[in-house]
Amino acid sequence: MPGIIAIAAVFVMVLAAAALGRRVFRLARFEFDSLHSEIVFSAALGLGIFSVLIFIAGITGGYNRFSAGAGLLLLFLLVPDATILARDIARKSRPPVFKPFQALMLAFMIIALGSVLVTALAPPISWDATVHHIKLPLIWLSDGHMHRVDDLHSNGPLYSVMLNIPLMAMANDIAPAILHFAWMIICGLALAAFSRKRMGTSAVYLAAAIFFLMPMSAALGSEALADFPVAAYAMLAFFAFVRWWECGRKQWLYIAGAMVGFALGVKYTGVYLLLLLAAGIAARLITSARRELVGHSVIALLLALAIGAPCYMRSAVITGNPVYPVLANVIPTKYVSAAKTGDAPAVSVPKQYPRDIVNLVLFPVNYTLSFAEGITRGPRAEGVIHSPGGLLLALVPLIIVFAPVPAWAVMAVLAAVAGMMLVAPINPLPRYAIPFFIPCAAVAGLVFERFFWWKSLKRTVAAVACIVLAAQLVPFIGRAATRIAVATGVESREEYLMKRDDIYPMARYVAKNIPTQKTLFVGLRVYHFLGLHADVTMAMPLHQDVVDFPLYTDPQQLLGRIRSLGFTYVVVNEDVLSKRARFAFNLIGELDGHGLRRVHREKKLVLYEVERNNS
Amino acid sequence: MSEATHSHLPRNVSGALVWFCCVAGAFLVLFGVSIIYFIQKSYAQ
Repeated sequence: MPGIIAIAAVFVMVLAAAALGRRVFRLARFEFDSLHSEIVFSAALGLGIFSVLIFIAGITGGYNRFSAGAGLLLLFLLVPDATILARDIARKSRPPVFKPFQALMLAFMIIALGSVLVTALAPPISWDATVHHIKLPLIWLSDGHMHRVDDLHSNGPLYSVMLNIPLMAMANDIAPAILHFAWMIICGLALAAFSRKRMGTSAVYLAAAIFFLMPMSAALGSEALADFPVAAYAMLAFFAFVRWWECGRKQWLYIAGAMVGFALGVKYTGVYLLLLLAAGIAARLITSARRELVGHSVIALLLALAIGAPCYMRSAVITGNPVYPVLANVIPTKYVSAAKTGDAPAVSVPKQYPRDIVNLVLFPVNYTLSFAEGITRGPRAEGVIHSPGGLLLALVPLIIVFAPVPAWAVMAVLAAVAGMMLVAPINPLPRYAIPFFIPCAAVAGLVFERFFWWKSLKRTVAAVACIVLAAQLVPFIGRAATRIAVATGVESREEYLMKRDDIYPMARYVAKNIPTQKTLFVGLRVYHFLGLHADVTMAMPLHQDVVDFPLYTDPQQLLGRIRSLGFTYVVVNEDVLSKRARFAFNLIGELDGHGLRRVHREKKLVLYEVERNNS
Repeated sequence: MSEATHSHLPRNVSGALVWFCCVAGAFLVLFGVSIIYFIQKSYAQ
């Protein structure tokens, strides 16, 4: 039942967004090549407008019945538009006729998407979702407004988190994951809409299958994250930019600007998209003599900045740094660890090179494509889940063999290479590079189709593609299989969380046994503590200043700080600390029995009581 | 554009086919190893 409510809530939100976006585009007299592309651009624009409205409500203290009523009124007003949209989709839909290859691709995509949906229906346990994407809405909804909390991620780009607020208020904590799944579909539909006019139907199906069946899609599509919103905006920005390049109509440039603006408000990687858009525009201006393009370009870039700016301005006002916590050593920044500002010695993170070198051998495909953290920390064992799949690397480079190369394919490859080069040096997480290489799936489709110029190759190439994609279904099915009991209601949420979530058992213990005490959680994920109404503050030893671990060389200084803040209990995630902040692990270890008294343990989590004094 | 009547593929197209099959094959092997490693790691925990 919670799953059905979540799906219904997301469906209503996306349909209403598409109706709103379509109304805005029609008011602006923008025209689209097909209903397909009109719907994906409209949905993305509408969801973007919703996020900005919820952001404004949040900073003005409006998470209350009044704004909920206003939201419902807006939904009511959009009913006629949504009805017309549904009617238009029904009218344009014709029973599809598939060739065998297309039917197989469709079957693969249905299996993958079905598996992601089942996975998304399980209660949230993923790292980033429970660190902030659903934790922040929980806090802000209970407090009635959007404010800084002792969490690195309560500042910065937050538009995708904004959409989780009404979903968690009206539905439940499953809905944000379903929304992320919807973003993945929007991104795939945008890729298909882009590809339709540029290659044959089979190649479009292959391009879409390459995207939907990425092992990354299996890992990320079912979680409440911000990766697919930014990927969808990036794909749509690329689509609009290419249309502008091709036909020169200014509406496409403005749409590209708007999409980049929303991406700026979703994730910092949006900044790289802005740079790429500016570079693309500059390239066009250099190659074209049309003077009016300058004005259009300036408007598009200003539009992007204006749409994304609220998040950056809020961060600047609260922390002094518009890109908090990045560049804290250059820009005077509040609420960030002294180790980040240079006021305390930098803390070295333990290196695990022998094991990591083994991983490097095991996962060269992933590391070739996704720049794991080899530069500073050595690669991590994320392996299979962070691969974009085999066909991109196998097909995309071959574009140089099959001339003529269309301009859009050159742009897609350049965007991917430039995006990865921007992402890799600062925060080389593979998923941060996703937005930049989605258009390359279309390039892969094009190359695949060009193999068909030689009939003798048709079967071989199609068979290899099918085998690779079939193998890539394994993680989708595997993840769904581990969650099917709870997703279908056979297993209870409580049982599932006790078994699968490393934080939940301790959260339940704390909520049950020390409910009125103030607890410091030295780890990262506090969602389940808050969900069970335990008064808990999160400490991230290398990032935040609430309890700024790098400042303390003497354990007693740390204990003094914990006491002065009024914490009576401390929960320590030993697993996280030993891997990510061993110095903090050692500091707390020295206090064990000398100011902190162990009272309980659940797996890798230890609960300490703060002793009143040392005597 | 159709060159279906060619009995021999142009050299660059043969090379492209070899590249495609080798990369896809290498991916499949590594992907299989990755999955086995991943499953083992999950069970170990």
